[in-house]
Amino acid sequence: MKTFQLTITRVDGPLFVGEALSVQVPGISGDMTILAHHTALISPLRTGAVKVTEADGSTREFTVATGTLEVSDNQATILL
Amino acid sequence: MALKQIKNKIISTKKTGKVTKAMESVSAVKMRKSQERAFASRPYVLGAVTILERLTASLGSITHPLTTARPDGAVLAIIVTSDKGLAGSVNSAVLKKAEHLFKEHATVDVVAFGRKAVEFSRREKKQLIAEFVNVNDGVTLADVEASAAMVINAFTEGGYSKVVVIYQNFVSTFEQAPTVRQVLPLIAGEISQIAKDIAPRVGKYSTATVAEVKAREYTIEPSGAEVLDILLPQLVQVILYHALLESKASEHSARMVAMKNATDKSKEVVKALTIKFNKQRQAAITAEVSEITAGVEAMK
Repeated sequence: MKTFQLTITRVDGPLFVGEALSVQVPGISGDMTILAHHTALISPLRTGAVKVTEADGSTREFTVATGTLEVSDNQATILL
Repeated sequence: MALKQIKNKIISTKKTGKVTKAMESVSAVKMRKSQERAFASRPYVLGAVTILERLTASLGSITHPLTTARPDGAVLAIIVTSDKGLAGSVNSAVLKKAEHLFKEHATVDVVAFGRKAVEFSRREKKQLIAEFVNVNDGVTLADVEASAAMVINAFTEGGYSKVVVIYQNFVSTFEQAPTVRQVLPLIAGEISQIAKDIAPRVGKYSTATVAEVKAREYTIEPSGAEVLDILLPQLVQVILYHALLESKASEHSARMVAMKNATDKSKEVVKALTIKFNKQRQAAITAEVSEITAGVEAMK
């Protein structure tokens, strides 16, 4: 499966930087899952969990209170 | 000066030297911590600023209360200084910028961070909208939430034409640049300028390059206006937070350098005084000896 560059960062430092297969986020208008080569997108996030599936198949979870998701050029940035 | 006086002066100078030396060490530790925090937040700030930049490019012209310029009205200045002095020219440089702003605009109201800014605004007889003193070194984004909300409210309700923040931007341990940034209304040009300033010129974080912003079609969920409603206040928070962190890093760096200079100077003074002391002591001894020999001669 194709991967994409994912960066999850908080003000006090990055939480996750690396290749990911998919990331599931609680968008403000509904949950969504971002895969590789997703269309360019900007969406605020609501309270919930961000689930990351890494390139080797393992999963990690982060909780989010507020945040923003931005996707472009096979790169996703989540600011918590 | 009498011998006794010189001796006392040497002792007191040595004591002052010890105090400044201790302050130097304390500032060195605080400096390292606050620099790390300032650097750690830079990728985030950069990310937030970049998103807004791209959003602006994608939406063409955005119309939102927080981006709409107003022709006339008072200016709200957010002045960020330290609580304590003895930090070289960090505070006075910021206050000089503020003074300049006061001259340019007829009415300027102030939101003051740090005791020095509060005292300054009182002295200048400016209206203080809010004051925040004893801001913790470990300031978090949640801490600035309330103050950012207040600033946004003051802008939308209070009829200010613009909101600017004046703070010390941290360049390196030996260099800080007093900076004036327009916070509201948010302008694309100003935002990209902030993004450029964030990447330091030297040091291990200087490699972070600012990606060129390409105008592209973004899908915006749920809608442009709603996203702006959420993103813009967040960005104001981030800009404020960034200003606080940078000024903390600047403060501690400047204080460390100032205290180092003071310690060096005290050593110099002690050295000069010791030489003076020895010379006078020698002169006193010589005078005494000659008096005694003169006395002996007279008795012969």
